[in-house]
This record gives sequence, structure tokens and C-alpha cells, in this order.
Amino acid sequence: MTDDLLLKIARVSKSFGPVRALTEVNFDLRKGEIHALAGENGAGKSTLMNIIDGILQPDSGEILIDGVPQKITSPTRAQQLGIGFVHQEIALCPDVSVAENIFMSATNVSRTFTMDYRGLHDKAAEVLGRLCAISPATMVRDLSISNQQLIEIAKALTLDCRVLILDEPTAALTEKEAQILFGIMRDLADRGISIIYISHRMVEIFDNCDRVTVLRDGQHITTQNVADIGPGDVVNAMVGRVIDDLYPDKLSEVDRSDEVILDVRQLTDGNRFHDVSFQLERGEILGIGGLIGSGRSEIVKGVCRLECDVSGETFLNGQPLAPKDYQECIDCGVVYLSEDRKGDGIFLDMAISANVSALNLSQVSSRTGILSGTAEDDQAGSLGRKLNLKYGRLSDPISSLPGGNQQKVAIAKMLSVDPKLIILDEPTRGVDVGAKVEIHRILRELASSGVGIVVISSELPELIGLCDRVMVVREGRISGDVRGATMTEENIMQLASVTDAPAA
Amino acid sequence: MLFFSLFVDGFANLGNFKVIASNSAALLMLSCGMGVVIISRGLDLSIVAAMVAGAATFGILTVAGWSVFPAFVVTVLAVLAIGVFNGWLIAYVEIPGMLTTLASAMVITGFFRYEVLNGEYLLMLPSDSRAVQLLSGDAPAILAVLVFIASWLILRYTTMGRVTYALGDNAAAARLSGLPVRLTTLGIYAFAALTALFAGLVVAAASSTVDFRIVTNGSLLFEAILVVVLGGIPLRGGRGGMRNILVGLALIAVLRNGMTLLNLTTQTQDMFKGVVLLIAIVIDNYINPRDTENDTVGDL
Amino acid sequence: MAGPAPFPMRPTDGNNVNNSIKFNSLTRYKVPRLVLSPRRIFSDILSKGWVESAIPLLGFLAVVITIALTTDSYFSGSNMRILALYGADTGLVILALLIVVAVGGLDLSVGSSLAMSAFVALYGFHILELPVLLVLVMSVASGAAVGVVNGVLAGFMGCGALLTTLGTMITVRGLFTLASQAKLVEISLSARSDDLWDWVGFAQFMTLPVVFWVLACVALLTFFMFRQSRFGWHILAVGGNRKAARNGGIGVKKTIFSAYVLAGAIVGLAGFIYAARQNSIAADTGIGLEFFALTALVVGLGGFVPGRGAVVSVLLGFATIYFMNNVLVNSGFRGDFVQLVMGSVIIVILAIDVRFRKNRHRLLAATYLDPVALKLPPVQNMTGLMPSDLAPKLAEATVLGSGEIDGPEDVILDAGGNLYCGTRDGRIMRLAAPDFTEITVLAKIGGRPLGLAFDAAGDLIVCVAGMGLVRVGLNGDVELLSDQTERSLVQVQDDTSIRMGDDLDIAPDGTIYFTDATKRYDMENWGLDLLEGRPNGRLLSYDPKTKKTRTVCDNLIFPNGVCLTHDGKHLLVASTWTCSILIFDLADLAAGPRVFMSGLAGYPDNINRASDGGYWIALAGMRNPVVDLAMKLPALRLRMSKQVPPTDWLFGNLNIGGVLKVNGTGDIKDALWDRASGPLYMITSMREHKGALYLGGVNNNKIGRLDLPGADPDWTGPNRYRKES
Repeated sequence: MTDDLLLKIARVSKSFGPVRALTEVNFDLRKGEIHALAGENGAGKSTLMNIIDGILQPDSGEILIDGVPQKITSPTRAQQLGIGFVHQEIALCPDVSVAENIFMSATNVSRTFTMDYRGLHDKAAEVLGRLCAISPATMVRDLSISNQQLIEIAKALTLDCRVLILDEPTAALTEKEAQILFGIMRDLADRGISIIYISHRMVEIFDNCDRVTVLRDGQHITTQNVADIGPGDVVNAMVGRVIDDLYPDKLSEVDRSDEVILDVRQLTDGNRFHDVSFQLERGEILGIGGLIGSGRSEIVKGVCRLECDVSGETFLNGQPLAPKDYQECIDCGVVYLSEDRKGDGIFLDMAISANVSALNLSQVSSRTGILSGTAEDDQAGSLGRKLNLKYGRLSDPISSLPGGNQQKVAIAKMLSVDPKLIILDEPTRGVDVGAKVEIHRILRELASSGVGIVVISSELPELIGLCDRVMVVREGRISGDVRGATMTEENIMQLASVTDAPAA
Repeated sequence: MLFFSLFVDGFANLGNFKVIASNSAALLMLSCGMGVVIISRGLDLSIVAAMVAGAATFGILTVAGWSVFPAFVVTVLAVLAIGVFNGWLIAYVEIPGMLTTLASAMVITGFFRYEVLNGEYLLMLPSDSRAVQLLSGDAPAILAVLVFIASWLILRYTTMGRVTYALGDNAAAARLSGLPVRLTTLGIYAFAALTALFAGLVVAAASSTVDFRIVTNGSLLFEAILVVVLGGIPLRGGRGGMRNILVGLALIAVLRNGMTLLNLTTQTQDMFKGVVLLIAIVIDNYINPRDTENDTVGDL
Repeated sequence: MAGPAPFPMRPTDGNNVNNSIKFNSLTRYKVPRLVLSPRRIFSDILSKGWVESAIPLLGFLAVVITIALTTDSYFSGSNMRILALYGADTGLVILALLIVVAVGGLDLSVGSSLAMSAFVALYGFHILELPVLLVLVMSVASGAAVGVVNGVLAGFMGCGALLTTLGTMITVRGLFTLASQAKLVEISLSARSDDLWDWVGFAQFMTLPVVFWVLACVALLTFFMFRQSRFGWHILAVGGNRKAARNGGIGVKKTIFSAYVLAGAIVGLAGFIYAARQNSIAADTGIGLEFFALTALVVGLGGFVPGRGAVVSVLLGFATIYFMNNVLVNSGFRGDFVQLVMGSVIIVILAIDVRFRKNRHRLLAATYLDPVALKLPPVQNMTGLMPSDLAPKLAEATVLGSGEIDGPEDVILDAGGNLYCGTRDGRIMRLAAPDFTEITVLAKIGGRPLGLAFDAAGDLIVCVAGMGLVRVGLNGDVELLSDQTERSLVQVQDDTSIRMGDDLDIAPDGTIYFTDATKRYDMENWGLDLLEGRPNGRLLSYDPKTKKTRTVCDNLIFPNGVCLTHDGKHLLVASTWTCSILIFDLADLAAGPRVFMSGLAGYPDNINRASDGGYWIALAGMRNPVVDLAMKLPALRLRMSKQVPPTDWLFGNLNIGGVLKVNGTGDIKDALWDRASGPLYMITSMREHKGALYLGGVNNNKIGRLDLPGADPDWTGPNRYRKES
């Protein structure tokens, strides 16, 4: 079967400074196959795809297309070679119409001087017609997240490509939209286009893909026909150890108490979430699942008053919790860890100790606002020991740490204020497996010691493995609650997907 | 520095250093204010306007017969008002800092020249004025050192300094950490205006005039930015400190002095400063590369 | 249970005298000519793309009016000519700055660069005594050279634009001062004159100065560049989102570089014009120009926004600032006061703009929905026909294609008895006769296919929500017939595109009549249209001969099902939210509709002809008194939409629907209801074919088939249609 190899990647390595993102990775893609690429966060999937798309250059190794070694120097070059890439994060020009965004790449290939807007509009309508009912003239900033994701996908479909890379395209899609996408993928594959499909979701991989390659810690672990293996094998290969080690023991039925730490009643912001009520019991870890853009982050931000204008009641340990802003919320002992660590979680250039103390500077300063370096170091040091943080010196910038330890610093920051309730949004994103296990253990220990823990995650195995109960959010409302044996990927996905609203 | 020591006679003597120091006092103070603003990822283009406005207020009040202390208090309040206004527009109205201060510089100079100077550029201070006498001799240097130390202490040891770094490093994270972001922005611009006032007083005392032309010709403003950038504080903030200001000041002062000794005209000097700035930018870009793969909008 | 006989079928033809429609005796239905509401106009304006440039325009008008009122003969020809002469170079610089800002950069070196290229021009003209055209080239090259430095540093190397251009600004200014000091005397002593040189500097062409025409040309070219050229589009894409541009394969660095160079060249041209006009330079030439240009840009763009190439707005901003400046100076105000005023203006404009931009969407969302009172007549003529009075006849329906089709809003059968329906994911499915178990995809058209009809040629015509009118051949060919109609003149919102094509029927002459149920909401949000209760829909017609679409009747309340009467002379249109059926006279469409039926028990959807000369009407949902009451109280509905989550809104009961059987004059003869437990729930369409009724539902995953004992077993829609035409 080697003769119908379209793309072959041989011993590609890539480092970012001291961090080795890829080590001698091999990968091959046959004509007309849907090839799943699986791996934990930080396993190197995105790096590998960025190399194929010419965004990054490999340090060593080669890329062969149709058996010919190619240097892919830029996304433009990748396009010329017939490689299309749907990125995980949405990158669209907000003030430009949907049609123009869709054809950004296609128009770039064309050499004429003027733009044919009418033609663009018509062709966009045609492409969009297959996906969804969005008018091509709409401005992108007026679209919902899931529609923007569809536009990203539509972009790639317009390319006359032979290799299509889809990087977690379904994270923000409803089940229905995802099914449409899978149908289109199948059509494309039947026409001989090869698809690299990156996903965490085993169901999607096993329902739609032909082969699966697993990466772990920047290394190629295995490539198998999907028919030959089961989801458990893939998960084990991704994690690199038996799955049982990954998550700490759950709260036993015996230890359950009826004591409620957090009681949220009818929280509404009038826009992105409505009528949200839930309780968090002492000792349990509550998971929140749902699609990206379903409002799960907004809900917890609402609890923390990071979003203005929420109505509803919240009780913390039986006391009404009604802070007027996040600062007061921290004083009440409720802290939130954002999902985007680099974007709005940590201060990359600042010292570890300064990052730890950032949540409440008054703990490490005098009343006049003078900071005490020793108090800061003591705080960071003791929390660091508690979390088994590995570092050189406390005055080193946090950017010198790997992702897992950065995340531990972020957690240390939250613990610095002796919180009563911690809300973590994607706590293990971009964290290696070792640190992931430790973070899970820390969270479990905190929960056992009486701190309320709420975890939002897109990774269903994590929700299922870590949490005692998972609450699923759909379109800004709680669509259900699963615990114990009902906590399965299928159940959660079903609750997360939209049942269609009535239409005329 | 080595270059000038070798090639310029009399460069490396003590007297020359003293000249460098006193010439540089005002620039040092301005750069301290600018440095703090830049560390918070802002930019204060109104700093020179605040400087002459402060000096003019003080000059007029003393000329009008006020005694030094009340006049000084009123001036400080006036200048703080300028800074707080800038900070308010930036933090609360959310206009980008560069545009805010660009406009407020126009407003400040326009206001002073219209209301106070009746269209003139110059405000003459009598040389027997108390202010002039107070600020002669070593006073400018001492003042500069005090401002410098104050900036250093604030940045290094106060919560306001910490928030300043946090803002520059990652403004979104600062907000998500519940830090008093808006209040600190007010403080930062107020502080910058205050340093500008001291710089203005020193310059005014030295020449017995307050000259509004330095706002329009702009070279002082650019020099202050140059000091900060040459010292190695990146414009996108979050890094660097007063040490960098000192380095930058030393470089620029030496450059300025060396070029004077080489008998270069002011124009040639200006041109060289521009070239040095460009080189500094390139070097800075090389040392602190931007993450151009991921930014969605180009930084200014 | 009491009630009429199960299926009182009379095998009569539509032309039966008893059944004919007396159109003129029916009540007129008043269609509003104009739907005006301040709230709607406000929200429509707010939703316009140009609204963000409205603030600069208002500012401009305010300045012009103030000047016209206070200064005599300011806008006279001679004064305008002087202004045009002196403003041209600044205008060019502002355009250059716009290009750089659009790509996401900033250029502070424009003032110095203008001075430098003016010097180059004078040097080339007076000292080197070169031909004027060569001088022009040198000038432009000088500006472009500065652009190259900026472009290399800010574009290729990725240095910060502010600092980079600050550096070039200082450097070029230094060079300029050095050079001009050295050569100024020599230049001023030169006596060379040249016709072309003077023509550029002083002459007028078509009553305006030549330099103004230069500005006009460059402005036009820039406009064209941003609007039509690929390069201009690249600039906007890079300025809008660099990452998106990079992912799209656009050479980001190259584009930034080119933008700086282009801007530099334009500044060079401005320098040439300046030199030709002034024939001299001074030490302060171009000083402060960058700030003036930036001010004009900020005023024009209403802020500092990359990714927008708004040439007209920026020129308006320039004119505003320029007039204001000029008038203030002319009126004896000193430069210092002008500076004060301009600074304040910038702050105020920026403040308004930033706040407006931030809150626009919130404001728009809060004002878009605009409910109005809608009073429904009580349920009429349903004695003994309500679901509680009758056995649920639809419960006996057999189910076709269960689980294999998703959302057949309408169903239709061809002459061969094959069944067709549209689905939610934009396909047309074919269920083959005779047992309908073989299900194939006839065509993929996208959008949301709703109403279906066969034309004389046997092709399927489909109304597609989100697209328009589509023709699907039975071999699977798809052709878009119409997606736009003429624009109504009194609406702020652009209503040319067909938003929610719902149902259609074809007249004997081939004209296709179809409905656009609502112009304001998409398929997913049709519920909001009910909440609004306004006449947002329209009846359209498409003439296949001329391929023209026109609006037959605007401002209908959710016009849904369309059906020609048996005589082919009238058209029935269901108005869903008013629970009534309207009728049009095809011979005199302009006369407007009359009421065929009103006070229905539910919300009528599709209408179709029955074999006995009557009609079938699908009821998509049932009325209930609470909703009827809510429809009378717009304020209540507005509050509900704001405070109650959509899933809890008051709504008609959509889980139970049915079919009404009426005779040719609109008397209800029978009602077919479903059980509360199904199998068909919501019915949106039905089609009679060879003695059976086929039932579709927009949310169903199946089609129902109900035998009609007593109905004409040979009657089919297509046959009948052929007979008529």
C-alpha cells in the first residue's frame, strides 16, 4: 500500500528553546483516508500539524509529498501543495464578511488584480449551503462561536486541497452540526482527499476514521487501523500507563455528607445563561461539561462576578454570597482559574513568588502597601512544597517552568488566599501526563479537606475520571446531571448536544 | 563610551561627567515617569506638556506673589489632576493610552498658551525668583536622585509597583486576579505627571524660562522614550526596571555629550539619535522577539 | 362523539357553481402600507454597517452648518479653491496614513518625509535642473525610501510601528534640516521656472486647482484599492486579524511592507505638490503634520481601528478638521486656541466612539425585537370539531420513512406516485413508489428546504429558508431561481434578499407565487417573529419567462402556506400568527387580499387542494387563550423576551396539530387531529394523492399516510394541474 501514500513525515523533530515538542516523529497519510491523530494536550499534535502547514519549520527530519521531499516554508506554500488546515482556535477577520473570510485562502491563490466580490458571494453561498444557513454577507463578529467554527471549516472546504487537517473541529459544534461535518468528511475522503482528524473524543474517532496515530510527549507511539483496536487501547497509548493511575479514587458513598458548600439558585445573566441552579456538597468534585460556547465558563464567571449583571442567589456554606466584583469574591474565599493560562492566567515574565501572591497582595504587604519579599517567598515556598512544585529559584520568571508546573503555580496562587471554593476552567490543558496526575491528586486532596472544587473540562475522560458528579450545560442552561454509573461519554455528549427547537 | 574616551580629548575627565549629570537631571526624571508608564504597557505622550504646564503654573503663582509652599502644593495638585484625567480616560473610558495622551498634550499646551501666556511660547521667570534660587546648584541633581529612588521603591516594593508590572505583563490576567487595575492606571499616569513637574521645575530654573516650544518640537519627548528603550525596557511592558533607565540615560548622555565634543551640530545630533533609536529597536527586537506567530493584531 | 361523517367527500370539480368564490363579497384585509415604529427604525439604523461612520459624518455636518451660519461667504468658490490648493498635500498624507493604519501599523514619519521629499523636489528642480517628471519620480522615490525603511523594520523584522516610525521621523527630520540648511540659499536664488511645474503648483483645471485633482485621483485609486483590488483586501485582512491572514496564506510581512512603501510613495507625491506650490521650504515644513493627520484620521474613522479602509470617512474627517482649523484661524483665534479645541474634539470623539462601539451590540439586541399588539378574532366555526369533540383520526395514519428523514416540512408526490420531501440538512429526499421504503437523496441544495411544488415541466420547485427559490430537476440538477426581490423603498433595513422562503404554488400561466415568511428573523428564530406579531412577511412572485422576482404584497403577518384555488383565479395565503387565510385575486393583485377564513383554532401552515374542490389546511399548532391574551399585550411580550429564558416563553401548543378540511368557500367541514401520544404531533403540510393524504411535519422524522375512504382514488395533484393548464 506504500504507493498510495500521499504524505509521509519521517523523523521530524522540533524544539522550542529547552522544550522538545517533537522527537523523531513518523507519520504517514494514505490517499482518501481519514486518519485520526490522538494524544493528550501537549503531546505535540498541534506542533506536528503546524509543521505540515508550514507555520513552523522542523529542526530535523523531512516531509515527503507523493514521495518527493518538500520544504514547506509557509502556509502559502502548503496551500500550493494542496494542504488545507482548519485551526482549533478561530481566527477570522471580524469586520469582514463571511464570504470574504471563507475565501481568504482561495483569493490568495488567484493572481488577478481585482476582487470578484459577487463571485465570492455566490460561491460562498454554495459552500455554506452544504453546512448551515448563514448568509455570506454577514459580518463575522455577529456570528456565534459555533457558527464561526463552521466558517473555519467552510474555509478549508473551499480549498482545492488534497490533504485536509481538522484540529478538534467539533469542540464547539453541536452533535447535529458535527454529524453534518462527518458526512462532508466522508464525501471528501471518497473523492480521494486525505483527512487528518485531531480529536479527543474516542467515539468520533471510532465512528468516522480509518486509522489512528497516537502521539505522546512528542513521540510517535503507534499507528493502527481503527478496526483492529478498541478505544481503551488508544487511551492507554495516549496516557502511557494504565488508565486507573490517572485519576485518584473517588469519593466513597460512605464519606458523602449532606453539607452543602455552594448553593447557586437561579443564576441568570439574561444573555448567555439562564436559570442555573446547582449545589456542591462537601468533599465532592463537581464537573461541568458542555460544548465550547455553551455558557459553562460564563456560568462560573457569573458565580465569581467576573461577568457583570447577574441575578439570582448564591450561598457559600449557608451564607449569602453577593460580592459586587471579583475582588470581593476573592475576599469571600471563592477563586476562579481561567482556562487560558497564557492569555489571562499567569504573568509570564514575573517571578514565581510574584505570581503566587498576585491574587491578594495585602497578604504579603504592609497596610501602607509596601511589599515584603520574605513574606512572599515564604508563601510561595510553603505552597510550592504542598503542591510538589519543582523550580530553580522562587525569583525565576514563571516562563522558565514547563506547562504543568506553571499550572501548579496558578493553583498555588489560588490556594494563597485559603479559598473555600475553587473553580478551575480546563485545569489540565497543555499539561503533561505526570503533572496531570498530580493536579488531579491535589484537587482530590483539597476536596477531601473540605474545599469546594468545581472543574470545567472539555475532556470527557477527565470529567468522568476525576469528578464525582458532572453537570452538563447546554445553551446556557443545565441540561442534566450525571453521577456514578451514568457518567459515560455518550450520556454527557447527549446532554450537551442540542435538541432542536421547534420550527415552522 | 570607550569610543568617545579614545577619540575625544577631554571626554573622560571629571568635569565633563558633572556636566553630563546636571544636563541629564531633567531627562532622568522624565524618563522615570515614562519608564513606569511603559512598564505598565502604556505610553504617555503628554509628559512634556505636563512638564511645562507644571513649571508654568508654579512660575506664575510665584511671580504673582505666592509664597513657595502654597504655590508648590497648588501646582502639584494641578499636575496630579492632569495625570488623573489621563488615567481616567484610559482606564475608565477605555480610550487607548497613546491617543489619549496625544490629545491631552494638545489640550494642555493649548490651554496654557491661550489662557495663561496669551499666545506666547515663553514665560520668563525673574532670576531672583525663589524657585530659581532654590533649584540652582546641586538641587536638580539631588531632586533627580530622589525621583529616581522613589520610582525604584515604588516599582520594587509597593503593591502599586507590582500591579504596574502585572498590567504590563498580562492585563487580562491582572484583571482576572482581582488586582486594582483601574486605580493603578490612575496612579501610574499621576506619577508620570508628577515626575514631569519636577523635571519642568529644574529646566525652568536653569534657564529662568518656561518654554512651550519643547512640546511642539518634540525632541525631549522622544529623548525620554529613547532613554527607556535604549535602557532595554520593551514597549510591550512588564519587564525592566530603574536599572534600565540608568543604563539608557548613561548611553544617551554619553552620546549627546560625545557628539557635542565632536562638534557635531544639533541637527546632526538629532539625526544620529534617530539612527541610534532605530538600531536600539532592532536590537531590542532581536533580544525580546515578539510572538509574531500568534498575535492577531500588530502591536504599535 | 358527535360530528359530521368521517370524510364527506364529494367528487365534484372546482368549477362547481356552489363552490365558487365570491371574491368581492369577502371582507377586505387591510395590509399596512408602511410599517413604522421608532424603535424599529432605531434598531435598523443601529444594525447598519455604516452607523459607525455616522458620527464623523454628523461631526462634519455640524461643523459645516456652524460655519455657514457664522461666517459669510465661507463656502464661496474662491475660498474653496484656496482651501483646495492648500489642503491637497495634507489630504494625501492622511490617505497614506490611512493605508498604514489599515494594515495595523502607524506612521509618525509622514511629516519629516513630506519635508524631505519637498526638498528633493526643489533640489532636483532648481539645482539639478531636471525635467519636472523626473523631479516627480525623485520625490516619490524619496518618500518611498522612507517607507522602505519603515516597512523593513516594522514589517519584515516585526518591530513596533510607533517606535520605528518615531526613529525614522527623527532621523529624516535631521537629514532634512542638514540638507536644507546647506542648499536653501542656493535654491532660493534659482530663477528657473517651468510651465509644467507652475501648472502643477498654481493652475486650475475645471475651476479647481490641479493639486486638488491629484488628491481626488489618489483618493479614488485608494478607494478602488480597498474596495476592489486584491492587494487592498490583503491589507484589510492583515489589519483585521493577522493570524487569520497568515493561516489564509497571505504574506503578512510582505503586505505590511508594501503598505508602508505605498504610503511612503504617496507622502512623496504630497512633498512634490508642496514643493511645486510653495517653491520653497522652511525649517518647520511638515512639523506637527503627523499629529494633524492622526487627528483627522481619528475623527474620520471614529477611533483608531485597523482593518478598515474607509477612504470617504477619513476624507470627511480631514475636511472637518481642516475647515474647523481654518475657520478658527481666520476668525482671529490664535493657534493655541485652535490646538485646545482640536485636542478636546479628539477626546470627545474618541470617548463617544469607544463607548458607542462597546455598547452598540447590546443596544441593538435590546431594541431589535419590537412587539406590537395583535388581536385575534375568537375561534369560529369549530363547534363539534375541536380535538376534544372528535376521535383522533390521524392516529390511524401509517408511518413512512420513520427515522430516515429529518424534518419534512412539506411533502409532494409526482405523477408516478413517488414521494418527495425536504430535510433539515438541506437535502431533497425521494421515497420511491409504491411502498416508499426505498429512500434516496434526490439532491443536496443546502439551506432549509420548506415548500415544494411541481412545475409544468415536471421539475420540483422548492422554497428554501436562507436561500430563496430553487428548481430541482428529477435527475438531481439544482438551479437557484431567485434569492432577491426588489427593495422596498420605505425600509431602513435592506430587505432585498429572501430570508425565509416558506411555501409556493404555481399559477396556470407558470408564475410562481411564494411567501417570504419573515424578513427580520432567520429560520432558527422564527419564534421571535411570533413574539413580535408584526407584519414582517411578504408574498412574492417569480416569472420564469422573465426570471424576475417581484413583491406582490408586502407587510403580511407571517405568510406561510400558498395555494391556488381550483379555478386558478385566486390565491390562498395562510397568515399564521393571525390564524387566518387570506385570498388574492390574481387578476387584480394590487387590490390586496381579502379574508377567506379567520378565527381558526390553530396556526395555519400549508394549504393544499383537495379532490372534492375543497382545501386541506395544516395547523402547525393550537391556539390557547393565554397566548391570545399575550398577543394583545406587546409590553408583556417584550418583558418576557428580556427576563424569561426562551424555553419558558409563552407559546402556542406545537406538540399537537392537525388538518382542517374546508370546502371551496372556506367552510370548515372536518378536522383531523392526532393523539397526544402521536404518532405525527406537529403537522405542517399535507398532500392528497390517489385517495390518501400524506402528512409532513417540520420537526417530525417521518411522513404520515392516511387513507381517505370516499375520496377520488384517481385524483392527483399533478394530473389535476395539467388538466387546468
